[in-house]
Amino acid sequence: MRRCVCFLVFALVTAARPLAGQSQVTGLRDLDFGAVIRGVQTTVAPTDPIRSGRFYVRHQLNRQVRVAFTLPTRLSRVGGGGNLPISFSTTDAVAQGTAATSSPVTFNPNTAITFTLVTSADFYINLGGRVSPAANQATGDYSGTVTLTCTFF
Amino acid sequence: MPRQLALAVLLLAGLAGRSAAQGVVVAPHAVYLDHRTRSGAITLYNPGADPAEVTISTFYGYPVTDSAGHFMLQVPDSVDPSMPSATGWIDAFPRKMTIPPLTRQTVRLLARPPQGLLDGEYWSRISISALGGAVPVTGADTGRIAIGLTLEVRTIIPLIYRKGALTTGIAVSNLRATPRGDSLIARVHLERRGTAAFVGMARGTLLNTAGGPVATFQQPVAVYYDADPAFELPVRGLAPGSYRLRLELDTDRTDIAPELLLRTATVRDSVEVVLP
Amino acid sequence: MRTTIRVSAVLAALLSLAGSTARAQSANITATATVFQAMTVTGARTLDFGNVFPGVAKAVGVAAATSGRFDLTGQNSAAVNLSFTLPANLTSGANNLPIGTWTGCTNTTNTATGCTAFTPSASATASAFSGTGSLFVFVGGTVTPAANQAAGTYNGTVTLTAAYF
Repeated sequence: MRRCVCFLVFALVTAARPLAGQSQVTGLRDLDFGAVIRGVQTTVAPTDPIRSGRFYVRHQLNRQVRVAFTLPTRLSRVGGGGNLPISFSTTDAVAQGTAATSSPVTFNPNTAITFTLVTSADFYINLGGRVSPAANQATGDYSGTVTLTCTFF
Repeated sequence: MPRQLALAVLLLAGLAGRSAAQGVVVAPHAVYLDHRTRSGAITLYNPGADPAEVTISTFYGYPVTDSAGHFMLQVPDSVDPSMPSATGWIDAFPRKMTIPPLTRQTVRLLARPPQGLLDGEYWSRISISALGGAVPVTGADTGRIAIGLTLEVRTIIPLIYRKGALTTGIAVSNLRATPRGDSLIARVHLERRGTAAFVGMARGTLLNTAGGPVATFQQPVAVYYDADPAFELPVRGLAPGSYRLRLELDTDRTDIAPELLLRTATVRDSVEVVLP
Repeated sequence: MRTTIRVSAVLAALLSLAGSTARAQSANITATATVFQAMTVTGARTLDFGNVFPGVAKAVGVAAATSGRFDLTGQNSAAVNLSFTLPANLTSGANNLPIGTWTGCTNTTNTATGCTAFTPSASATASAFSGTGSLFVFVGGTVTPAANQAAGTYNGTVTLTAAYF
């Protein structure tokens, strides 16, 4: 009996900290539209190896992760004086596991989605989008924040 | 009787629904390179429905004004070492390309300045030439006659290369104004100071005797050496009499990134004007 | 029996506790863009001489509905130089179809009414964008077919150069 209690106590302690240090989400690369011309819509595909935004997510095999983006609708001009509309289509996000057998999954970054990790415990999420400068858009640098929230189960 | 031969002749661009000499969109409209990075880029965009063949070249030139006060591009017949030319050591990659319809293309600019280049500002012009392809003829009797036209559009933008700590400034003198029809033509002598071109804005305001503005103009200016530009203010409907023309030159340009502008104090002058 | 149940109960509670440790974490990236002023020159309308007959010169003026037109966009109120490379002849093999007497005018609105006339040539013509960054260039010319002008495909190259400061 005493041995069983010890086992349970150990198991309880172990279960209390399974996510800490194992589950994480990290921003790796900014979504960079680069040079944008007034009046010309500019698109970055989620598959763009340089310009697309990129996150790294790690959890546990066979567990679930719910991912949800908080996406801006406008980028703000650095120093003030303008907003640059930004939008994301239903195919502007791609999740790709790190295992050789993982296939990319295209999804809509505008709605939350839950993944079950069956091939690898970690994966990347790439994000594309488009900006639509007005014909009289103020020149200069614009930026906005993209947040990825992962809920680990 | 002369032989009747209908020729349908179409020139230049723009069949209905098709832009044949579309050119390409070029951004930025002025390139600034710094000696520390020695590189930059221009973005080209083909807004047309057909591919555009594009060629990039460089040459030395700088703005001056003609006798009428218009800005013109001065292109020396030859470039000698005393001229602040960057043309010989600026490369563009790629130099030739075909840009598909509705597609952007980045052209990298790389500077390989000579050893021991002195601090200062060096200039060049970038020529972006876009070939839009042949325009097929339409019209009557095309069975035996056809015309194919090759259409080319060239866009020339300035390139400024900077090394070291540079300053700019502008001196204003001989401000005068002359009525001409419905306009008031202001002329002024501008003398560049410092070690770099003055890139800024000229703003004029015509004030009535009460000090109220009745006409204005503003125009981007680039003064590399000296210039005697003419500026035009609309004065139609203004009552005859005395006015005061106030001219300001500053370096507030919204079309150029703030970190690329060389700042200097605003310069002002004014002159009395009589409208007939 | 009692021990087993107690263990099972504790185990059930443990598993239940482990199943409810859902935890959220966020990370940020930045979306960036740099908007540039751009320059555009577009061939907007064909210079159309329509039917031309041998020995009969035909001219199209800048104000005609069939005049050629270039549309330019650039920095508001900025100065721009325009120059042209224009053929003197359109050629078809050894045959020439003379073209010349080029005419031009510029306007800041899309109409030839009230435009500023100039002669298109290799020499630069000074002009300027409107306060909203537009400039329209209208071009006309004259073709002069010979009385025995031959059939064929006549070719030529037209170049417009817009220089900015």
